[in-house]
Amino acid sequence: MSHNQIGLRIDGRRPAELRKITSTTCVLSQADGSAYLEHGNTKVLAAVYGPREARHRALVLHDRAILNVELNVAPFSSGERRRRSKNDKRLLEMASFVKQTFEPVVIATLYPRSQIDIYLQVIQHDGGTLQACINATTLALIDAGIAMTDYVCACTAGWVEREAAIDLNYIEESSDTSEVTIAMLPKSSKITLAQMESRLHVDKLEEVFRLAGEGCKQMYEVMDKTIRDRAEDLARKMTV
Amino acid sequence: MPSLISPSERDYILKGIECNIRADGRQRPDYREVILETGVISQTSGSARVRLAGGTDVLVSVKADIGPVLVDPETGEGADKGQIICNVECAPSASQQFEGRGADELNNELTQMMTRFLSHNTTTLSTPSSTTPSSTGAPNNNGAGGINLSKLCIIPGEQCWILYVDALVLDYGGNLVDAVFMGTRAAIFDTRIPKTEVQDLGDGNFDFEVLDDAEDTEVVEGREDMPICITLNKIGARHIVDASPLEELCTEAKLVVAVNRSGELCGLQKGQDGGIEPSLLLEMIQFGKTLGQTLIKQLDAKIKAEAEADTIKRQNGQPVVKLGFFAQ
Amino acid sequence: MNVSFHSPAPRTAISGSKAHRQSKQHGLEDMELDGDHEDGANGSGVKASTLHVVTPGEVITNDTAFMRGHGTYIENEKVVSSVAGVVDRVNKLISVRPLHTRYTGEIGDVVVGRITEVAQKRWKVDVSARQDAILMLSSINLPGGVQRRKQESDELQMRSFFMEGDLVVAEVQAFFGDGAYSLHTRSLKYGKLRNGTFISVPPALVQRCKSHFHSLACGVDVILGLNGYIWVSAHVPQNLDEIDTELVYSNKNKEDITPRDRESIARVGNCIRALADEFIFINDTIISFAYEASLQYKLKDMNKKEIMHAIATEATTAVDNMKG
Repeated sequence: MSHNQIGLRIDGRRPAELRKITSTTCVLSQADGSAYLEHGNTKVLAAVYGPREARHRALVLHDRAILNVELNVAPFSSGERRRRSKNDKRLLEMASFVKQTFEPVVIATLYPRSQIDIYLQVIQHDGGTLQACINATTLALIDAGIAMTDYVCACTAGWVEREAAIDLNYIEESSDTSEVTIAMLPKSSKITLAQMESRLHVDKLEEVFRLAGEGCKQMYEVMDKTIRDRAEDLARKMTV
Repeated sequence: MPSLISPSERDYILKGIECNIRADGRQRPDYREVILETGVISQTSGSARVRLAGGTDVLVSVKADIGPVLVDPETGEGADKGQIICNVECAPSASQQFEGRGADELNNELTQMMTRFLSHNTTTLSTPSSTTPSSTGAPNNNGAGGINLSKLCIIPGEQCWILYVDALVLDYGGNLVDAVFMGTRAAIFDTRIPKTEVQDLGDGNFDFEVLDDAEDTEVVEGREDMPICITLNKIGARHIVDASPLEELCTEAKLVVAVNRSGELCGLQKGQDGGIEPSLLLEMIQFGKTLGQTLIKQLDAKIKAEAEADTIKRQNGQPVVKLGFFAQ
Repeated sequence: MNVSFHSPAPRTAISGSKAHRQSKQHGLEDMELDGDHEDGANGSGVKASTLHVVTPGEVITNDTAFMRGHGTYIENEKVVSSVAGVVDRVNKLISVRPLHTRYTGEIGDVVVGRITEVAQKRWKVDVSARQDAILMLSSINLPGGVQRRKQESDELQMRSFFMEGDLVVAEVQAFFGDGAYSLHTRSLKYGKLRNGTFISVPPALVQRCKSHFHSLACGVDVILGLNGYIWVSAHVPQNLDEIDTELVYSNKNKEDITPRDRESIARVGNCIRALADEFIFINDTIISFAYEASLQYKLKDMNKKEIMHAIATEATTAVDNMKG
């Protein structure tokens, strides 16, 4: 896991360098919005349905839409094949992180008594699943035309060997690294999610957070380009 | 995925099928355009994505893993065979009805069907090939499933290759079963299994080594003889293939016909509540058989063309780029 | 029998964009430049060269004189976009129109909907909006006299008017407090749909026009619901003076739909799908052009992607030529 002499990481990246990010929207034909996003080899598909008539009347909120998130991991997503139960606690937790991240950002009061469904599908897992899920969700929600105060951009950062690095891959993640995932609103730099599972010295925290924040801003540039290109493309087609 | 249809829409679809003009202009035996790409998931041994023009979207992965052989405690069979383990999952992105545990029943039904049609291997079981009089193809010793499971065995009684076939339904636009099986065939064709070297340690002990040379791999033997499924939907007195979601809502009886390239019948499944008259049933099976053979021929040609194009690119040192979800 | 396999096509590259990309700082200056043409609320007829595309969180203007409309919110006295889409400005009202979204209606809109639930004195109707619309028993014409008062017996036989799955064409008559639409079918041109087939397209593609009921030259009737639900059916001559009100709620298709009619309906339907696939505005003119363009192809080949693309391209060219 060591950096080589010129300070590059195991996959040749610099500490503050994201993996190759590619994304696109409108990949599924039935959904109101959908997006596909790759953080290197972590690949996630997001589908958004709604706002639509709420399915369970008991859950309806009279003044806002309810958000519903379901996360599934394909059995073939990691090196070793593994089927996950729908009740896998880890997946339920991650789905609830996504829900909590978006609740303050989606302007749900515009859609009273309705429901917004976010279905996430992890196609390949190579570290940083939560950040990829959040970023894909942002794209899919915007693709569905759902009002949000800002983008939500997520990025991980951690202390890899002797320095802070962002967007950790699976190998970096699994070598007992301290890793944080943060989700940020790029306009106001407000953090809507911060999550850490392992020990990190408090002195290092600030640097890790700073880098993660920078990673989020880099993510924003990539995601905004995807959205803008798509919107301009559609707008131009419509004005023929 | 619609669940409601009006009586007049039903009548319009029914009479349209009667006079061979379906609501989208197709004739009864017409398929929608199939968009196919293999090798779309990099971490697998083989993969494919199949889309029907109406929206159905299926991703199939094949992973080859090494595991212990499965011996039937009663018959003692299976000691010299590998395994195929199938799994079909419908994602909620395909339909709200698949949310939570909503797809469990359908997943199980499709998984069982695939397991039955693909891993039927023992020749001692009466293979349905004897029921088709017009078997024209080469003799097939691998049973109805086609794939040669004995070839997947590494050390008899101990270790074998297990092929995990995982199909993921991402979007729904009708005719799921056919799409899943087309994707599975394409993914199996795309699959490469590493070669193994077995050493005899004496005293009946064996050890083996997996060669990790990317060039030195094997294809799945018997893959050409895998069956494919044709779903026939009986609507009124007629039957159609590749039904749209609204046509599926009008379907009285559904017949899934599994057929291989030699035209042998490899499995049947009748679904939904309507009955089928014996004479019509035979006609439908015959029709499914003919269509299935055509479909296999065209599908194989497509898979072959893509594999050849990839090989040429590799030989010329060009990167093989798969579009995956960046396709139109 | 007809089976064909294809490789996926790459997404069409976004070539030198005509729509100018705006930096966040000088939104206002560009607004003024755009000021000479004020696209109406329906946003039609915008010239590609003046498209102003914004994304969520982007400041549209700092000028406090502007008022915020749909798709925007105010933060620190600035008008900020909450969706990705095209900026529309009507006088001092700024709104952003997302391109790919659920239906947002206005009073007077013609919509096509599917009954999802029969309740007491009302039906719930799926109109591709953020919640089901409501059709009150009091908002339909009752059989046996247009002006008849509703009776208790009507409440008991709600399903004899509309039942789950039925398709209706209706008009948006009001909004409820929670934003749900209230529909009515109190005109003889509204009511139950028969003799044809249903197509769904993105709602943004259907423009507000004088009429949403069209009888095409090829003998096919088309109802373009503003919610993106479209009904394509065999032509039925309409005589609004004498319509049998009993027939309004019938589920029976007419007996004399010929194979020729069916072919035309399927052809028109496929033309609409082809246009929607390319994200092109859908109105009766372009459908007619697409239909003409489609005649050189066999009906059953129209499901092919390249043919759909060719038809859509030819139709848009024809519209451009017509405009001069």
